[in-house]
Amino acid sequence: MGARQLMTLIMVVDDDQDLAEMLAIVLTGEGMEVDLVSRGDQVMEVFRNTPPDLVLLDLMLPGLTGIEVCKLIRSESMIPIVMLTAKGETTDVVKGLEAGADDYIVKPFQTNELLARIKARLRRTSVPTVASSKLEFGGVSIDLVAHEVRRGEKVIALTRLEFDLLLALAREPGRVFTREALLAEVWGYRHSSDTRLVNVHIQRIRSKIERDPNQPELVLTVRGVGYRAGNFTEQR
Amino acid sequence: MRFTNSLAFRVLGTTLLLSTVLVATLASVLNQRLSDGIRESKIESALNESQSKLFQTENRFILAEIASVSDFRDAIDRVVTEFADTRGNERNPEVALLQANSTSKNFYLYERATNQIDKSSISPSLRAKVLATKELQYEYGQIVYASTYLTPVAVERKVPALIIGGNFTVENFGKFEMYFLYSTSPEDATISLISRTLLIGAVALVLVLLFIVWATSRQVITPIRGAAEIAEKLSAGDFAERMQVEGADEIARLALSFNEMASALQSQITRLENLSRVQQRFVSDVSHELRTPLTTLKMASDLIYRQRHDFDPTISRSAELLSAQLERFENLLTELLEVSRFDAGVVNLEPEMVDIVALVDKSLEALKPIAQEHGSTFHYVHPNEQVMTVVDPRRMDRILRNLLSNAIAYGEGNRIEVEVRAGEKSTAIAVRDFGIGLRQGEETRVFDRFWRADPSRERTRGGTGLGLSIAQEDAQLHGGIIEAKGAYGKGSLFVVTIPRDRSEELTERLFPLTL
Repeated sequence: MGARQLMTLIMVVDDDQDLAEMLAIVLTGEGMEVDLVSRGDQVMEVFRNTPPDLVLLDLMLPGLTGIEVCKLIRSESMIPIVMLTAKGETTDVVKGLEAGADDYIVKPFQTNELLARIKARLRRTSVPTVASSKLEFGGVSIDLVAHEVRRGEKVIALTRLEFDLLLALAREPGRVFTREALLAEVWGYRHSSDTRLVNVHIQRIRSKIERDPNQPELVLTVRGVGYRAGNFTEQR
Repeated sequence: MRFTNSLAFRVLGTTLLLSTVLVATLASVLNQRLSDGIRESKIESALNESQSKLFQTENRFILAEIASVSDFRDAIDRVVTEFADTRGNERNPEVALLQANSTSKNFYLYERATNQIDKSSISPSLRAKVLATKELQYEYGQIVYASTYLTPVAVERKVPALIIGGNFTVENFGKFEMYFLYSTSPEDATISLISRTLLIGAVALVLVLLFIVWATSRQVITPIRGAAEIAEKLSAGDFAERMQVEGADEIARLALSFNEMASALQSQITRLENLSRVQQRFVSDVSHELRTPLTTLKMASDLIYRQRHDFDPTISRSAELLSAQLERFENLLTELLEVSRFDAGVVNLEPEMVDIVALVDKSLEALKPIAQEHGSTFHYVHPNEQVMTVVDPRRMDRILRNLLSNAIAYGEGNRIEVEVRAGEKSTAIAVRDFGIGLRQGEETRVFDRFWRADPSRERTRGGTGLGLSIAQEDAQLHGGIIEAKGAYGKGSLFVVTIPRDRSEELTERLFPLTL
């Protein structure tokens, strides 16, 4: 991807013209480029023509709903998606997360909060200076340089966030992570107890990497506390 | 079947008891009267017969020409043998002829008796009565048959009997007593037959009565049972069932009005469900419609606020006010929506196993900066181990933030004590401040919406006036409760108690509600 533009491109999908314009002003002020899309059914066309680095997606859209758009984007790309939702209702949030969104932010939000979320999603996990650039556990190998996860020869498509989440767990196999710790480490939240984010993403990772997602071996739940990676002796 | 709870069982029980008492009384009276009647007529006929036999015997002796002792003996033998000859029929009596005042144990001299009866058959008391008067006397006793040569083994046969006696005098030979011993066994047999028949009849009557009552009560109870079953289904939310209406009697009316009630309930509930759906939609629409422009407003305000130093003081101050008031507006909107969600009954708990000690710690951490602004410090006391409780962490956090914000706002910059206690059936968190406090009677009113202790001054403290009300609703959603206690000028205490098992009634209190 050498031909990529230098500036970060954010696609803002919202039918409210004024909000979209305001978002554009703020994001441009932060040195980002913005594509504005106001209809759900126009998203994919713009997406293919000028692939963005991140999508800000309103859930209530004319044409196609945000959930449907989210699924369409996910079928083609693993780029970060942050939902903008006017409803804090659990069902909508969970549906959006299950459709493939990485994070969500409830309207009305603080400008700072929005920017922090966007930046957290754009930031690549810094590759730690470990001896090997590969982690193996339970038949799954994580390539830290190529940002790739394989089971055997098969590449498993993970979103960037899913990759980060899996890596956080796999790097310290013995450690039990509380949901809050994961929120801080992976999402960059400081004070949040919205554990639904963690739960939904863990489910998604499991459905991708586990042999039987109902009886997970790689990402285990520690009741009442959080999650930890399965116990596999590290192989070189 | 729950027999003890069954109406049919109770009706049958009552019927059994009452009819048994009634029939038993009736049967025993009847039995008594019948046996008395039988006995009386027996006595009457036996007395008449005995009287005539006594006369006959007396006349025999008068007519007989008794010249010697042996003549007399012959006469006695003849009389007794004559009676003995007529034996063979149970209805005829045994006869005994005794000399007055003879005390010998056996018949001797001029004493004779039929069929080897024993002299002990006639009791001394009867003999005394017989001698005392000319009238015939009687009593119930028994005929004792002495053992004879024919029955070599000494066997006494006893037969219940009516014993009648009278006296007569034979010239030159003195006074004699004559006894007629009527066996009562034919009458006794009749009486016992009657008793048995009455008993069988009584039992049959009770059974028939029970059957009639059972059959009748079934006609009433079956529809009632049906109504009860359908009512149970109704209360479980199944409105499809209706009672069958047959005929035009009271039962049919019951079924008819029952069905009307069910229909009315159904339509009422449907109406309420629709209302609630409309309300829910409204809340969601208002939410969306207000939030989007508010977002734009906030972002614009943020932008201006950040550059306020470039403007002259009045505009700069306006930017600050705009930003602050927008935030307040947003809080108010959020809480109003939450309240309307509670009212619409569309809130749902997302329970999780959580360590309350850590959860409180996190809430305290989040509010620390605000507390410091007000000059207050938190003092947190908690058990040295995790206190795992199933709660909705987001709601629990909101409860804590509301209580802590309240303590900060009214704490006058004094210390704020927070304590977690774990009980057998509940977990409790106490928040104690040493500020303005509450007056008498305000402890319950603080949870009222938009209630303010002192309307003139407290508006400056910010807050929406909904926080504690929402906190209380959140606690109640957990099956718990928030209780308050305060003293004016001394501060206030708020205690949240959350049960470990939401389905059980909360009775445990881990903190005394005193200051």
